[in-house]
Amino acid sequence: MAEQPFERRFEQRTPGAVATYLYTARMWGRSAMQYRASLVLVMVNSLFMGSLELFGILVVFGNVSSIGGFSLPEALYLYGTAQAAFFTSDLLFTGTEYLAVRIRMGTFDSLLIRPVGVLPQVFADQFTPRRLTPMIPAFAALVVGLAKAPVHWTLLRAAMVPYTLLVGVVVFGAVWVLVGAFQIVAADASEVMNSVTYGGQFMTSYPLALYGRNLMLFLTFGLPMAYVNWQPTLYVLNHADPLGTPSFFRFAGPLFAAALWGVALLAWRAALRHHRSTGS
Amino acid sequence: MTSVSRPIIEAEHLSKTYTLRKKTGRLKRERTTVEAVRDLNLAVAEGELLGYIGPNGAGKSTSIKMFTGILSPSAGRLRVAGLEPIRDRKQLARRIGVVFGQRTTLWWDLPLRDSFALLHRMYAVPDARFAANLKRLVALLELEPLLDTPVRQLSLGQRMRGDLAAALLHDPAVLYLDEPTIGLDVTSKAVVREFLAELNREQGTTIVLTTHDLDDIERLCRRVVVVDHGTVAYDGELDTLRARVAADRTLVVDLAEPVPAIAVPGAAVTRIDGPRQWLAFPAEANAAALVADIAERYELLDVSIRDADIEEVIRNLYTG
Repeated sequence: MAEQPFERRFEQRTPGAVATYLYTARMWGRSAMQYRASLVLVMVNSLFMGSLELFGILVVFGNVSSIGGFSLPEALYLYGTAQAAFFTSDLLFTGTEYLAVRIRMGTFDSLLIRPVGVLPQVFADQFTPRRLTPMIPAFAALVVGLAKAPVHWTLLRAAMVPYTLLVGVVVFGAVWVLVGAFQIVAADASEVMNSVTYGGQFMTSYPLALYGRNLMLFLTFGLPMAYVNWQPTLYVLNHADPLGTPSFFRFAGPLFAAALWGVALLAWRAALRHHRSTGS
Repeated sequence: MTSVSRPIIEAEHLSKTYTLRKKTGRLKRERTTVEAVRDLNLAVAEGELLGYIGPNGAGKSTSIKMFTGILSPSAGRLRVAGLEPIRDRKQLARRIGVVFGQRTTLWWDLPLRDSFALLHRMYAVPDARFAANLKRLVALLELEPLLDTPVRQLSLGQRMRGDLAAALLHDPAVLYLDEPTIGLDVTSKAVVREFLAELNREQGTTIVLTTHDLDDIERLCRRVVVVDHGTVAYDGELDTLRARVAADRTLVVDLAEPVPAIAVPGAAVTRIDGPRQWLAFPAEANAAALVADIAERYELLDVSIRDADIEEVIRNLYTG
């Protein structure tokens, strides 16, 4: 009693990470719904932009029959996995992108005075249903590609499809955490991270063979974005890796994802420590 | 718990040093260290209503940010409600309420009610307790007609009342207020002050009030802590502070034409700008007599009298 002179007023536990995320995202989602006309316009626009990119792929295949060893349906599938994973991660985690603004305005501090985790609040920041529409062309490409591609279906191949998406979302999620950490430390150079996020989205959208051997080597062994969807897709579509990597590389995604999350969380903690010691 | 009452805020030799990197050339960067807070000692007892004042950049906000678990101290010892703010951030958050006068923590596009509902969940306030607190705060702060209004449509005063309620729904033991009356009209200021006095009296909530408005301090706080150059420059009763500083009042006179500094007994010219002159005179002196004195010798167009503001009181604390 002497140790704890200040009465704890109530014992119930405050929300965990997922609950915090859901409560916060719901508030932002409802805020976005207050501007329905604008929301609809932006959603239509992003649907149009996404479809246009898809149309671009079709145009290219009007002139050539294969790109990087991939036929049209195969390329569509690969493109679909990258886009679907990216936009799902964008829907869920992209709140970290707004941190630089919060740091500059001083509103980041108001997240620190809540009795819940900071990262879930940040993930949910500015959540908007607007980010649902780019997923439509993404999943359309994925489904059409799978339906038309000559896949020799086995149970493992079928399981690899949701697995590819999951690994993709998790990897991109870690990238968003890194984006957040960077924004806290360098609020004035926040755009630099676009090369990582949108660059990663672009890189994974097309057959890696397209980028040439050196870049392929880098993306397999340097910054191994190849494991996001390239390697598992090679397995699903029964293609050999142009680099001749052993077949267990096709399943190395979770290792990469776990390592990247480890790095991302360390960076996040360092960023919070930086904020605590500088206040900006 | 009356025998050993430990302070609810305890700061001992608290310091905060920033390292700033300033660009001085294309590649050169100069490192400078800034001591925002140095060797600050403060003990606040439970149930106190403390005026925490000082000029801009004196270290007020930096120290409050340390008290609330936003910034980590560079040195010294800090306990709030028996907790170590950074280490026990989440636990501490449940015992404190924070209102930043300039920035609302309410959800801009949603009805006030929704912000309250979110806080209910985030702070895990038991339903019955929440309902009772909401009812009490809504009545005291006259929020009933505003509950379904989106926050962006509220006036500054209404929003401040909303922010106050939001900071108190979880029964915090300590409430930090940063400029709660800034920009408010007279009526709203009165409502806020009356509410704070009652909160402190009835609920025993410890309140730390940062303000530039001397009226806030005069009406609410018996104890005042003046922070200057990152450390406590004065800690004691407001009356003692005033007596010690004996802040001068200022008489501003507009003369018909520019003249050299007016020489009158009991007042000294502090500034001249064309035909306008500023004269400092002791707070307890008779202003009417002084004006009559000057009017006798010069042609006066206009006069006005200003009370010493907080900045001046603090300045005098050092020069006097």
